[in-house]
Amino acid sequence: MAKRTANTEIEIDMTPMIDMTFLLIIFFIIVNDMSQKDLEELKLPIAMEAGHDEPPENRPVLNVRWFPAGGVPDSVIAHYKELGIGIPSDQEWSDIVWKRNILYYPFMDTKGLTDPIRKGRPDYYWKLAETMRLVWVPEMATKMDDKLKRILPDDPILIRADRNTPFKYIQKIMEVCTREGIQIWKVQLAASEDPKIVDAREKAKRK
Amino acid sequence: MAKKKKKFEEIKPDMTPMIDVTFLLLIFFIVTLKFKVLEGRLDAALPKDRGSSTAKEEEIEKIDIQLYVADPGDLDFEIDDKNKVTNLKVFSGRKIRIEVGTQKWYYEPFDPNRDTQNPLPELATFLKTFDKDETPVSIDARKGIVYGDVVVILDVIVRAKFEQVSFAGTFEQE
Repeated sequence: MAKRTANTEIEIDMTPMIDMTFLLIIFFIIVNDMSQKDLEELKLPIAMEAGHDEPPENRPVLNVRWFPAGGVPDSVIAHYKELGIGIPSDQEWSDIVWKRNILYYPFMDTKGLTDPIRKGRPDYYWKLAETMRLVWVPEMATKMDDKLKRILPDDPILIRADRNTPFKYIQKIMEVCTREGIQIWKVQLAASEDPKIVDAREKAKRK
Repeated sequence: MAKKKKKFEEIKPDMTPMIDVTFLLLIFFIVTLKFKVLEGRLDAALPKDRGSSTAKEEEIEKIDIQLYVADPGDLDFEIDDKNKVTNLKVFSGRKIRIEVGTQKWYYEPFDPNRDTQNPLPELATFLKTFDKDETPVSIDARKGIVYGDVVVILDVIVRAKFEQVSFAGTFEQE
């Protein structure tokens, strides 16, 4: 038998481990869907006829969140604190979020602006309107309407709202869409499919 | 003088930093992982009755669905240690009144005995008497109506295959 020296270095072969680690990384990169960053965590209402959503590239997504009195998650409170905005804790309220930007919150500073449709009333939705005018309308594909001689954005907007949001917020968003210089005319409302139906369909597929 | 080197010395790069970085990347992607959620959508047109027009409006048959809250119900929920709402048994006992012309129906969104496949059979039957391609339908949500209520109605209308669905403007004040 060959005699071993006492100080033989033990070397682990790292190649398989690195291989495996790379495979894992590639798996997580593929599975991780970055396009979901626009979507806030919401409880969508359930609809039978909710068509499967294939998002167009430039479609803006407006999230309408809803919080019951006293039920505001810590993460939301922290986000508002960063912005230096006080939020009500004793009543239910909603806000409108686009790409993590808050475009409307309760008791928003109106900066003296008034609602162009209901003259004289404070315009709490100026930030939403401004963002739409500056960001969305130029970005979206536009076409000329010969009869009306104005430019109509052809893409819809998607409104994702919590199922308990008062509908007046959605109506307000729709109103803002029809404002001068925006004039978006198509809207899509997000809803989720009934989990029972999805289950049944999956079962039927397997058979 | 140093000893003469061996001719075929193996070159071994130090793998440690690469493995470190790789692990960091791996951990990053595991932590940020969010699986794709499938969502559906319902399409509708926006209100367009803004401003005044001198053009004569043609008399057309139109279904105007008005939604009222008959009973707001009680808000019932629990909050976990991160202030996140769990176990939301929203508005138990909530009741919605649906009015179309002179017809009236009541609807309880949180009735456990409700048929989820066909939540509003009366409205669905009523809508069948109209021409689904020609008749415009508008949904007029009044004070206190929430998004979830409207989606149920919109769902029934879309299911009846109506082509022209729109919403009425706001009634509520700030």
